Amino acid sequence: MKNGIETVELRNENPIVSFRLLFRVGSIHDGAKPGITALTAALMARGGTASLTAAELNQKLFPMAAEIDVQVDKELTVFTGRVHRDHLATYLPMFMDVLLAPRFDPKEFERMRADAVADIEKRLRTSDDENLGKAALEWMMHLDNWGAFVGGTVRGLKAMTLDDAKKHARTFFTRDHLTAGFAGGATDTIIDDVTKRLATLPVCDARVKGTVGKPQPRVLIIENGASSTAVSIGHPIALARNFADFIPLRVGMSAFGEHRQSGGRLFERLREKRGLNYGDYAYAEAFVQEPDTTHPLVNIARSRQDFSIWIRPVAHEHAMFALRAALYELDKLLREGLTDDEVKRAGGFLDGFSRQWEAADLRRLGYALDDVFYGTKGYLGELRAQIPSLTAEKVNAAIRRHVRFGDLQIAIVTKDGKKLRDAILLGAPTPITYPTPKSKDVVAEDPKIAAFPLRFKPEEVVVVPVSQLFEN
Amino acid sequence: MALVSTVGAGSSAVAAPSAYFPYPVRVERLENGFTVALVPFPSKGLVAYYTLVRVGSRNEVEVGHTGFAHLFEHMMFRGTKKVSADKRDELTKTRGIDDTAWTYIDHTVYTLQGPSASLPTMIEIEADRFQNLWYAKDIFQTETKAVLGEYNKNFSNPANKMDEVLSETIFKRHTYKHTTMGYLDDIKRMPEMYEYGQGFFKRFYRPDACTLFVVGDFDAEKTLALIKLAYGGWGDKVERPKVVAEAEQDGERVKHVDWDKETKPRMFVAFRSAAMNGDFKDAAIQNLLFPLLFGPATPLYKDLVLDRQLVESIESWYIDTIDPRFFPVLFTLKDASKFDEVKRTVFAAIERAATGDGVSPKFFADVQSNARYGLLMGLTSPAKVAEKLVWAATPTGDPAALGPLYERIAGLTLADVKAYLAKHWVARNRTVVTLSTKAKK
Repeated sequence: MKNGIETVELRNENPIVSFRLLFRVGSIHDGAKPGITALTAALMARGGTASLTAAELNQKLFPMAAEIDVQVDKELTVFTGRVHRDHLATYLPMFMDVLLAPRFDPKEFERMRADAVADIEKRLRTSDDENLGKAALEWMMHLDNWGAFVGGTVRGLKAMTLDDAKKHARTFFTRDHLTAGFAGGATDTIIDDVTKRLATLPVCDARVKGTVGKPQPRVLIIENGASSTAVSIGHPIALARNFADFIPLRVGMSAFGEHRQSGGRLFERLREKRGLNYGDYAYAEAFVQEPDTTHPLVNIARSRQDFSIWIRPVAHEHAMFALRAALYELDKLLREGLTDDEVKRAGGFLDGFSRQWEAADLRRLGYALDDVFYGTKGYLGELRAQIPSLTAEKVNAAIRRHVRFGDLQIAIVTKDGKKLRDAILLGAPTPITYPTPKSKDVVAEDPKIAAFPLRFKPEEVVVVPVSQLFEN
Repeated sequence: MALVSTVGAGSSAVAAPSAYFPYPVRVERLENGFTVALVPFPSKGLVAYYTLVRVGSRNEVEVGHTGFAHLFEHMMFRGTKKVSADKRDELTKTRGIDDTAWTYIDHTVYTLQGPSASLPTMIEIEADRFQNLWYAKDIFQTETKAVLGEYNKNFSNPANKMDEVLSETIFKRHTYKHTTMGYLDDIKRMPEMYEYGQGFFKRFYRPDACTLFVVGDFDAEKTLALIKLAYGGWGDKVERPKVVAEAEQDGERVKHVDWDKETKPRMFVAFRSAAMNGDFKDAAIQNLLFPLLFGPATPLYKDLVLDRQLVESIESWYIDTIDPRFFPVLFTLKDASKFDEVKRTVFAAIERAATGDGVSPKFFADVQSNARYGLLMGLTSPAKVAEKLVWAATPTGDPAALGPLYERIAGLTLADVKAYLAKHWVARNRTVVTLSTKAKK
């Protein structure tokens, strides 16, 4: 604690000073106004301050190439800042004003609200099959505030007013929700100055009522005219980084399908051996990719977590086969488990690769703040410390305890939903043909995959037009 | 400033750190033409090992073979007789090495990142695959399907379609006409091109086409000794592709793309650009044009995005290139009926910058400062440093070009930029491609 504000410090000789101001506020606090946290945070970070319009703020930050940004997730909102120490004195008052004296300019509010609506209507629903499936799956898996899309709904955004945003900021972006992180060339003086200023934020006096949605189907088929079919599969798990089983499950999912890496079972068998698509991955916790890298975003910490599988777009005619192949592999994983070699390899990979997740100051700081959220003592260090002692037995036991085949839900984004639904319900084999001869093991296994039982009841498989998603 | 690029085979030079790129770049050229650039960077036990191959879709001169450089990037992961694909995977995965690659118009870049202790493994497996790549025909054919999957993944995004249309509208002869992904018809025919693929490797993947960047925390002498041993025996010279020069553009070109799904209206405004060569003057100017005319601190951004709110965002994918290409600026609009209004505003802003008082001397100084600090702020990890070095090195092959490019940027005057705009950013060199949702009948 410094000046009454909880702090995390990772100081070094870097001439760049990095800040992460983390609030325990996210889309679960949207209440009856879906999207309000994301819109409010964007308005604060980019909509100007009491003394500077949005345009003036851009112009002031520009010669310094200094950054002010914000990231909103289900339970956390983090304002990030970076500046070269040459410019700290000019930068800091502006960065502080973003939180302490945001402008709440009506024009900026209208602009960002329109952008948020367009983001749902004209991007997520139509041009981003990958994230659409993931967002739909999260919505299916959690019937309350946790399932809502962080960006909100079309109707929720359209009904929002500037006063709603002002009130939301005052109520939730408060000092009791805040942990302030400092990295790089931050000095005692800087930290003292920043925490003193942040201590003037109000204290939260509100509670949010939960919203509960209708139960969702087991299989949701979303029709959006996609040129290929993407599949997301998963279920909620009662497990996060602060549980003993998490690290074994994390290593297990790495062996089953590490995000954007070759070598995982799913990748190996769906893409490498069969050429079905570009990649196939599995996750032990909520995962959002950092733009332009394959690394996980930091501060996507959540108290409710999901296990999930992501099958990247496949040709429509291979959709049934790919879906069955993913389920076949999962079933096999649960029955036969991973081998010691697979666990050793995944462990070795995470041991080395995880060091890159914390190569930059701002990311290292994010992990330290996630540790505060989970109450862990250095998650990445703990991951690496446990790896040498992990055996296939331990990893398989964790997988079997937490991954439940019968609880899976599936979101599919495709063109002809009815046809796919019929095929799922009919249950007849859906064999595949290849343009080239395949190895013996593939030829022998394919009929088993093609006939893998799906066992869904008609009422469990629902087709919806994309326009119904994230609308209300 | 071209000191490093002129050193001959078997030589060594060090580009000193500067206020722009604050790390030394030691460049060693082996007898076979293979170039090594060693860059120490404080990164506590991490290194980036990036091999720049100056072979990209620009090299795809033969009809029906678009997308081949990219397919070949995939094939480079299929192993050798000594280190099979599975073995490679095991070697990299057990050591925590991130092993990937990307392809673009002028280059293919093979990127390994991992613990410094794994550097000997990186050297061993990279030197091996660059000299001894081997894969069977069926493996090749399966991989072509993964490429088709990648095409499908990318083309749900309208920006990729626009990029394709923009390239073929501007270029008629030069290989910059097609995107790196290639044409769908060519991708579908890829399974038949096994023999062509073998030839591609022999023609283009040669030591003198490659520059290896090692960035991070490592022992330079030991590393260099291992590299010389591993790559020294690699032979032959790269084939120069018969790339046909594009004629000067002789008038504005305009295209519209109908999109069958609901999407945001988009408009590319592009001008022919100069290659990065000589004293880097044109390239330095081109590196400033986006922040100078379209960035968030410009009057145009304030007008279109913040005040009139006709435009949601303005972006650019300008890169420095081997041959003259184009400078694209992408406007994402809110309403397709406003294409003309936005276009007129943009053209007027360019005109004012070129011939009037559109850019103040104060703002020009701000843009130069932004370039300098932007680079410094971006050097956050060995991989980020290696990436910046690779992009700057691609057009000329000089591994240390990054520092001099930014020095050149700092030395520009507003008059230089105005003269450039008046000469190049004229209607004759302009292409406009728009995309919007097809109106329902």
